[in-house]
Amino acid sequence: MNELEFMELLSEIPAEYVEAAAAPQKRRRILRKIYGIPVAAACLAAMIAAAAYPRLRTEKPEQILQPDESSCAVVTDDSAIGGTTTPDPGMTVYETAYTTVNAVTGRSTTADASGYTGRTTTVGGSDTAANTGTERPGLNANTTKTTAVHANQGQTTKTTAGPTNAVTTGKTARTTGKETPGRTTGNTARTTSGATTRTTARQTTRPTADSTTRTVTTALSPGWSADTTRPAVTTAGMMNITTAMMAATTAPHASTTSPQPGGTVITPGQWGPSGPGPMAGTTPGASAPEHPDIRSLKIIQFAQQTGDRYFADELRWNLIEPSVTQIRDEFLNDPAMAELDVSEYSGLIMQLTVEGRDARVVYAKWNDDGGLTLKVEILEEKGSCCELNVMLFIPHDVSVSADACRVLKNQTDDSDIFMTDIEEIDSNHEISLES
Amino acid sequence: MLFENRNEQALAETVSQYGVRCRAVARNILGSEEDAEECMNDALLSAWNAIPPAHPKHYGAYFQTLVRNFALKRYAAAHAEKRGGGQMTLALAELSECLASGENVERTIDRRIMLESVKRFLADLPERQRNLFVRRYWHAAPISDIAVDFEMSEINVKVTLSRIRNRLQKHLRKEGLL
Repeated sequence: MNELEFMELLSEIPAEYVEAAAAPQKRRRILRKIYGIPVAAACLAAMIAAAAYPRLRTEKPEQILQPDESSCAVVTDDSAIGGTTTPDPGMTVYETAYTTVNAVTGRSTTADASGYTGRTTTVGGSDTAANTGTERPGLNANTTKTTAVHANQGQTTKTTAGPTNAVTTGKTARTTGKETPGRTTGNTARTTSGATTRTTARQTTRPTADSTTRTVTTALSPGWSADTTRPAVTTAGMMNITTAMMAATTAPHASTTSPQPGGTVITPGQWGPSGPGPMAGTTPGASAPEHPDIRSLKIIQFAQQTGDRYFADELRWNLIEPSVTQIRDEFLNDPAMAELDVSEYSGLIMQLTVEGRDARVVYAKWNDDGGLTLKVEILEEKGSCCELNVMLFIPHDVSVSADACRVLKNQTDDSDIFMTDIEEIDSNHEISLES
Repeated sequence: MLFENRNEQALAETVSQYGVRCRAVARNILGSEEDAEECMNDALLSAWNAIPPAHPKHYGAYFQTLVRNFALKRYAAAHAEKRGGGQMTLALAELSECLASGENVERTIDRRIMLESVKRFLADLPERQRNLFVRRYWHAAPISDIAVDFEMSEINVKVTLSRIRNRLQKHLRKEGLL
């Protein structure tokens, strides 16, 4: 059968095929017009949303929910590893007092001096250098400060800058754009990377002489005792996530945190006997903690939630260096910690705060490879940003490179990690709740 | 209905409704407007004689098929003449209109088998590909027109037709017809 015969053969195919082939495109064009209506509507809605979203995103919410203190940094029983939430009866509580003196007094005190005299931060009308003075015995010069912020709540967690040459994180300035009424303006923690560190606290507007004292109490585990000799705080630092910051920190470890080559290494023994930082809860009247083998490593994790209102995320820090495994082993082998369940001491070794939002640690556990897995639940408005601070307390004689701590995996697709900021801080720090 | 009532208005209605399509098919095959018009007239005469007793369900497809068959016969005759068939070829073509088919029984059976196989092949094709195939090899529409009608690029049309042909070849081989 040649081609022509085949063409003749096709004459006998069903007439339906011939009719359908004659005008198939006509139906499609009609359908396309019909489909065009919702498509056009969707495009219009998308354009409106794109125009309105940036404004809504930067708009300050009318009402900010105060995070329930009981919901912060609480390990609950629904932990996958059988966690615990209630403080141990044997736990002690400690209290930190923070005193600010207004600008009228004009008094200024160096960091170390305040450290020995105890928690008196003085800010003057002009720049006051805070990096003078002598070193505190047992306190290594390589360590310093950090700040955890509840900017929307008007809460500021302050820690003291160490004596000198401390910060290697490369942070230069962080200021909040969300100061609460009555708060001192212009509080700036300046830290320059390199050999010298200059930290100034400046207060420009303050009414008459007054002093405010806030207390923060942390539940601690057995074996933790009050700290009566810890240094005081001079640095007032506030952090906030600004749009520019977020834009600048889309890449992990970008911008504000630039560890020196080799990371920010804390050498063994650089921390003296001191207690960990404050934990969740505020109960006045207790004494400060002390643990001889603990220092703190703070990991600040910025995250944005774009999912549902109830947001459960699992953040994992890749602590893969042998030294970190050593940390884990030391914790496990520590007699003081031996009796504690992982979920229990995980509640002790970390502090979780989220800017202006409620959050809690569902569970935290060390992985077989040395990694630390945190499951964090954040009650968060859809599409808003939050700052997640996780603080780890690590034995002082273990060297840790900041480069070892990085976000390995964010298991929730609808959450974007903006920045991972690692700071090593003195375990002796205070939380200031400024009015 | 007009054909069955032997109403001559049926011819005018047919030309009015299906004339454009029928002429397009003949023109695509023969490449000549005059030849297409003659094929149209031949098809109308054939339909007038066939209906009744014939009762086509799809008048459009029926008339297009008539026109196409006449066009293919003209095409075959014209190409035979070009190949040097001479008057003998033309004479055979003239005789073929009044004589029974010269095909033998075996060839007729093979043709029927082939037709059923092609029908199955077309039935298995996706509708869009089937329409494309029929549009090209039944209506003999140009690639450019198909591309416009199906809102495809000409390259896409060619590639799609090539794949359909390859599929047809495999189908015929599988059924032992090649």
